[in-house]
Amino acid sequence: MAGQGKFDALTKELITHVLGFQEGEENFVRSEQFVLSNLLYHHCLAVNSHAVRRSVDGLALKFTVHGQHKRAKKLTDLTTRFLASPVFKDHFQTDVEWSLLSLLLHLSNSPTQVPLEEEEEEAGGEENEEEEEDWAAYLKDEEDQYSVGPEEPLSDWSSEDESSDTQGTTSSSSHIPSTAKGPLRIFKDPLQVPAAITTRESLEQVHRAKSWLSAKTHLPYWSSKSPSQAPVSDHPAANVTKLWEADQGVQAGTTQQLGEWAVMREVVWALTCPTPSHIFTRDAQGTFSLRPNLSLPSLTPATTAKLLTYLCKPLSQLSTLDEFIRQHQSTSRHPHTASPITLLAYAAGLRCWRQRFNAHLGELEDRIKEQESTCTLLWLEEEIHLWLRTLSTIHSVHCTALAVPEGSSAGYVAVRMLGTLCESVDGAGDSMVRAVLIRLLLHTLRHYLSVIHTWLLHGSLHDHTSEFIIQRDESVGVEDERFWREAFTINLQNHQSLDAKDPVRTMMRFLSPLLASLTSIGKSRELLSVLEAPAHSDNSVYAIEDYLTEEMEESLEETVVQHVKKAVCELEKASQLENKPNSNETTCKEVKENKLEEKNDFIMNQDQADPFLWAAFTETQQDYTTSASCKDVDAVTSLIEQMSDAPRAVSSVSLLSSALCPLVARMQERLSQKLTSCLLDCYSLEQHCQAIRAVLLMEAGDIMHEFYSHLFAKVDGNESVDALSLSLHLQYCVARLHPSLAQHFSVTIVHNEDVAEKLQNLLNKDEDDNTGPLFIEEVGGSGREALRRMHQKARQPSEATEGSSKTTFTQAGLPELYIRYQAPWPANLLLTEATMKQLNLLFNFLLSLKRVTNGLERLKFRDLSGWHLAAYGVGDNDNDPDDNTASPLPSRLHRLQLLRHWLLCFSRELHNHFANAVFMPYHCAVERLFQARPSLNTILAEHDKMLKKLLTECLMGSSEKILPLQIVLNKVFELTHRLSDVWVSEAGGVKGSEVTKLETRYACLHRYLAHFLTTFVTTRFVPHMEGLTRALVDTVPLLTQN
Amino acid sequence: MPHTSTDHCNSLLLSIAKMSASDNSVVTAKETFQILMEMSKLLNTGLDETTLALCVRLCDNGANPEALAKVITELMRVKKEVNGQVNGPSGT
Repeated sequence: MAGQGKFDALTKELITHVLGFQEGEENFVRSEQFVLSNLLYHHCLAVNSHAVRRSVDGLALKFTVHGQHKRAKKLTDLTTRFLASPVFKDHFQTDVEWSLLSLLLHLSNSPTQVPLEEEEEEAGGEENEEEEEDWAAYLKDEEDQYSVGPEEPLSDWSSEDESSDTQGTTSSSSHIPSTAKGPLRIFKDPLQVPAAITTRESLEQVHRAKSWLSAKTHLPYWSSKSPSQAPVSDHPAANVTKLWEADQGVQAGTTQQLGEWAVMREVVWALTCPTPSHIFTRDAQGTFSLRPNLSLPSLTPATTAKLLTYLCKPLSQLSTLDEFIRQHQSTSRHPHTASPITLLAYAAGLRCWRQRFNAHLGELEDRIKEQESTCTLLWLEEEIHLWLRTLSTIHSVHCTALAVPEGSSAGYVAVRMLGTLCESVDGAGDSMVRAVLIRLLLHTLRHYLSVIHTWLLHGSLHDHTSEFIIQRDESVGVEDERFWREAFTINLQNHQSLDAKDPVRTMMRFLSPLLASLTSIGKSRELLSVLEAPAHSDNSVYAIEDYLTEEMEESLEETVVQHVKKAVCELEKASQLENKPNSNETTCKEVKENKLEEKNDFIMNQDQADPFLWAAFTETQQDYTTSASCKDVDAVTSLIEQMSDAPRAVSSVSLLSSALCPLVARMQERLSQKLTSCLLDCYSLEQHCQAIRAVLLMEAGDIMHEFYSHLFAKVDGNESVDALSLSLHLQYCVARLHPSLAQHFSVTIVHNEDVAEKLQNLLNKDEDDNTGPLFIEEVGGSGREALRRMHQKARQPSEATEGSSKTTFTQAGLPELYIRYQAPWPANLLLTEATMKQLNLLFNFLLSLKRVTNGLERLKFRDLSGWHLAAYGVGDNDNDPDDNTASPLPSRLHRLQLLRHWLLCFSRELHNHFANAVFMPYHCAVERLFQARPSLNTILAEHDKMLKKLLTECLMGSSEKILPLQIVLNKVFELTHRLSDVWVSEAGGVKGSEVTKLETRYACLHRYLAHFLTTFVTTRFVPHMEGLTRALVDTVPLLTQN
Repeated sequence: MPHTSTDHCNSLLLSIAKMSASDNSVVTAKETFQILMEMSKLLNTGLDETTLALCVRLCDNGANPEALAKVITELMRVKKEVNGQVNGPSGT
């Protein structure tokens, strides 16, 4: 343990110094034991100088890779100097220098992570110090030296004696540069108190500061203090301005001459920040113009003006755009003067383009500043030519888009902006311009896409600024029957009269196909979220949410941008393949190739340098520009900005539609399926429809037979008909078929006194004109004619009249009924009030048909048997002497029987036709519709369509007031009623003329219908009516009386 | 009168110089030590001048640098723990 003695003292010192334990403490003893045991009994290898050397070199390389070149150099230098130190020569301990280096390397702790500043500053300070020291010493050599400022702080390693000596030598030359050091240096050591600053020193400091400032300040080119811009050459071509002044007799110096280099820099600055300058001025309207009397030495003032004037317009345009961008900075938005978010997004897109332009201008400025290549104004014009063309297009789009009428809604402003951009993309001729416009369009569209995304994913339409084209009408609740049709409205209702050239139309071309799908999805989402579908079923809202989340893994903005980007890139690739043979139009490609070549050159140059360093910096240098500009932007903006040029013309509408429509269509389909399943399975929509059809279209024949028989009996028996008893009876009937739905039915009797009075007047006037040809009159669906006629022959007219005061009867002698069905939500979405109204029209039509048939069926032949016997027994003596067409009673009775038969055949023909050719196909179609389980949209639309078709086919009228078939039925009923009267009460005394009259009226009726249907079938395509028409035409009775 | 840190380092350096071949190389030793100190800072070892000087002397006396580095690291860790224990409760 020879070494232990050597280590003891040092170990104690080390522990005391590092840990602060004092000798004798327990901790001290333990620490000492630890240190000694580790130093004496270790398993470490002896120092290997080669390994240490490699480590040091590796560390230096690491510094280099991390870009800390100065540190690397410093480490190398220090190592070299350390190893070369004479202290280690002939040292008794071998390799002590390597031991020390090894120690430091082992203790080294992430040296590359140490902040650079302090060290570098110090290094820089030292360098400056050295430089200044050298120069000062050099300049002040052999001059009287003076002492100013505080002393140089002494080295920490100087002994007190040395430092006192140094302080004494105030005239030392090393003090002179110390005044130039910063105060940090002077007051670095708190023990060093600065001496009082003398006046001379102050003056010198002021002088130095002024000199520094003047050296660092760049004077304007046109300033009188700036160096002369006159050409050095005496060649006439270089002094055109001077010669021109002499020639024109203009006083020399009137025209200010500016160097081309200076003008180029001014132009670049002006484009970077369009403000008035020495070359360009701006008037109150913001229009830029060229300042007069400026010229390049090699041009006349007019030529110079011509050379520069082309920049005035772009400057004005840039100024306008910059002002717009400034006003629409999203961060500085004032809540009360909030612009539409779409405009803010557009401004953000403009800002991105502006940054690109500025970056390009920066590159140009660097090239101009470097002066390593010939840069002229013509070169500059060529460099910015494409950018200015793009600027012109953008400005044009900008002005068109923002030229909205006063008071326009935010929605209109947004759609107009988008429409203008779409049009501009479609009309762009240059690939670069097109790409810029596509990028702008995508930026601007972001708010719309964001709204759609939120709507699709979360089911709520968040559009606080009301600029989305679809708006939710909050007055229509989700349980309202109008919900499906009116809950969402188009936000352009105030702009219905759009000009044909209005850009909004272009945008609508893109949005129109989407609107239906989007609203359908929105409504489905809202409905499904309210419908309490069983949680375990597949219809669960959560299941939908999960599905939609899966479907929309990334935001809609990203999806659309990726799609457009992909489409544009594919076009570009295709274009490149096509243009490969002829390389005359490959400007962009050339630029890229040039960049690649530059990069390769750089690689070649770096080959001699450190390969690791180059490997580490290759990628970062490549992406430097992009990453620097995109530092503060989000992912979508980066995606948009990374989009390359669009070499081929694209249709923005189709591009965006193809991006959005498939996704929206998929979601719509999925949601529609869910909703339909939910409505059909959980909310029995189909059962409700079946019940309605069973009652109102009389599909449930037996049940409805009971109901209308009961009604007819009451009417014929002149009993009072009230809504309550009818409702109860109807519910009683329906309950046998649909027990759970019967309660929703109710019957209302319509009271329409005005119509009744009108019909009464008509009857009074045309009472006896019934034998004439029939005309379709514009009469209401209800009237008193039948009632009046019926009452004329009624046995108890007074009672009937009393009844009539309560109830309005139709011409078919029936009260006008309105059957209501209180469809529970959500079935009321389909069975709306309008639908019920149409179905009631059909119900009344069917009821009148049943009424006629029922009336005729009640006329039994056996009722006439008594009259037959009488006729054959008594003899035919009761002939009317005035009746020229007198015939025996059996013959008249036979004619009555025939008439009854004709009428029954006629009415049954009609009944069978409608039952088989109209209602049966409707029934099958509705059943098929529900079996197919289409979307609710389709169900509603198809159902409406089928109902309208049914109405047309049954009533054959375009309006509710002119219904030809209803009129015919009314007339048939009237005839039936008259026949019934004759049949029941006066068959024996019926005159031949009366029978003839009835026959003639029937013949007229038949002929009228046959004629009407023939015309109807001829003029329209109604194949189902052809059978009926043919049957009626073939059986037209001959007129017996003219 | 207690010795300052600078005095201590100077004395250590002088001892190095004495141990070296030439006795009049105090300045050289000082410069060498300064270089070593610079390197120590550059490598972010966390050693102050006194500790470094002590390490130099230990190495001079034949201590294995790797073992010494472990010792120093451990001592510094203990120091940090002790300081943490002392400052912790009062700090909160």
